[in-house]
Amino acid sequence: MLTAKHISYHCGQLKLIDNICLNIKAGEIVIIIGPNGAGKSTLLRLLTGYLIPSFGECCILNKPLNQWQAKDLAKVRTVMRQHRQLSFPFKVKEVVAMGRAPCGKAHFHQAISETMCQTDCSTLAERDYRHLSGGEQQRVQLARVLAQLWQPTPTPRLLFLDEPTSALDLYHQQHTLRLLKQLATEQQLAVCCVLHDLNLAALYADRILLLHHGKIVQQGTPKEVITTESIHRWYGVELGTYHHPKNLKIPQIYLHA
Amino acid sequence: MHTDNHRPLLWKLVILLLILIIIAANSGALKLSVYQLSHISCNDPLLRAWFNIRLPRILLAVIVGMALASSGAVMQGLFRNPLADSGLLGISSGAALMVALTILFPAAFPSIVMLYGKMIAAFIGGMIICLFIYLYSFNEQGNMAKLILLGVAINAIIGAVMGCLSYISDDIQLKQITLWSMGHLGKGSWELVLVAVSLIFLALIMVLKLSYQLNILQLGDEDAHYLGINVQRIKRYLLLLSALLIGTAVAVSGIIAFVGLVIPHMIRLRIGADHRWLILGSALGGGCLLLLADTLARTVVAPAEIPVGLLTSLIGGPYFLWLILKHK
Repeated sequence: MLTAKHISYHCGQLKLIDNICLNIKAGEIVIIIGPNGAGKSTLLRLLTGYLIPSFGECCILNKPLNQWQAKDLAKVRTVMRQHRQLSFPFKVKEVVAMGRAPCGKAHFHQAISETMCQTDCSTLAERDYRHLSGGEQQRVQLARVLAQLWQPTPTPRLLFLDEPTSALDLYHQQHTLRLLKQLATEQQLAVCCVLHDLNLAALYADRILLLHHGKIVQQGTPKEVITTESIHRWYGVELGTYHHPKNLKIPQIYLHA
Repeated sequence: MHTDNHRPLLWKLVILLLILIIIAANSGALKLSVYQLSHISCNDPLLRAWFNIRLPRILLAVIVGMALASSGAVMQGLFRNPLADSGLLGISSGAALMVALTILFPAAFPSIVMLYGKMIAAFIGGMIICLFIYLYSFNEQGNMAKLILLGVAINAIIGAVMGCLSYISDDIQLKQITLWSMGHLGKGSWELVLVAVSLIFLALIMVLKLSYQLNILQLGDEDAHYLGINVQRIKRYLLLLSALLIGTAVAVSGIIAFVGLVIPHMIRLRIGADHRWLILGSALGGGCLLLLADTLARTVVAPAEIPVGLLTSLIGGPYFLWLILKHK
């Protein structure tokens, strides 16, 4: 689905991203973690084609990013960024409908109704987007990007998310990640997501990448990456880990007071 | 279900505009109603005066109002800022400065382009300021306060230069510049109407074609990019088109303030932010407002006239004040 070969991104003398290789398969949830300023958002921008890497190449569906037409690419990959304010009184349903811009009129209503239902936004449809709370706005943005990728049949598509749960309450954090898991398994979506909550990441990730100073310093299953030593080493926090009581393969962390 | 239909409201605006046109055609210093016109012969000087003076003026008011209001809506969308307006940002003054230069130094232009000379000058002047603001504001990501301050600075600088130009001009030129900077539609002729209509309608159609992309731009440049929009190209087109709209309007009518600010805001209250409806609604509303203002301007103190730009400022200024006080 997505292959990045030795991509680097330099900004002046600074190496923001340093020689990263990455594969993401359809149906897989890859979660990127790392301390502030590790280059998580920059990596996302390189993988999505917003920034062009200084070195290396990134392919989606075996086609290099620079050979894609913007409109065709918009049908197979989308990005949910950390939420932004709007200046004008758009209704929620209008914001979600913007997600269908690359797709034309086909399945317009079905796609929007379904994704608004999935993200628990249906009751907000007529509200002014600007008057929603941060969490509600985040759900609407999720509905918008899901509407963009919506297809009547399962096809391989790529969904990037930059901290999609940062403003959500506990219920909606669980709801959103369950939804992503379901879409990945049932709809062949490849999900690549930046998360700060390590416990949440361990619960839902198929694979975790730990980014530090623009390099992948650890990658693998949650059990391999989320260990007391590695998190202490790369984040510099004092912590302990334990096994999730319902699933011993899943590590969870707790901080020392 | 997922997009609202505002067609009824637009039709109401069309009907309002038609009613205003009929009222305007009936009133003026020349007491002549449309009813009387049908009873006088074709060669009557009254009919000619009506056809060659009043009718073009009415059409000019409508078309200039349309250009000002729709360009206001586009600029506000482009800068993601409900306070963006050609007057506040200094685009109108840029156009005014260039026109003042053509009034003072007419010899610099060949006589063939002099009919369009002021228009071209106004367009270039507006474009230069537009470009400057564009380059500045996209580094600032729509910082509202700074944008307005930038407009204040531009207006102050151009005001000073205009002062110098007024100082060195002779009486006739001075009168032309002053009258022009207050905005008036008195020199409406059929040639002018045709030129203005052709340019403004062309720009308006293009803007309407891009209106959906303008909606998507509201999500921010990066998100619009992910939706397959060529952000830089769309922005360039829209900027060029709004400069064309403002430039043409300023060239034929001088500076008419606040129409571009007030009308899109009022229409937004009814229609919402969807530019596909907003721009069309603003165009119709702008036509109505400027026609109303111009009809008042030439009838209230008939046979004298108030410059229409003064009148719109008198209405628009307090409205703007109210807008600021309401949105703290």
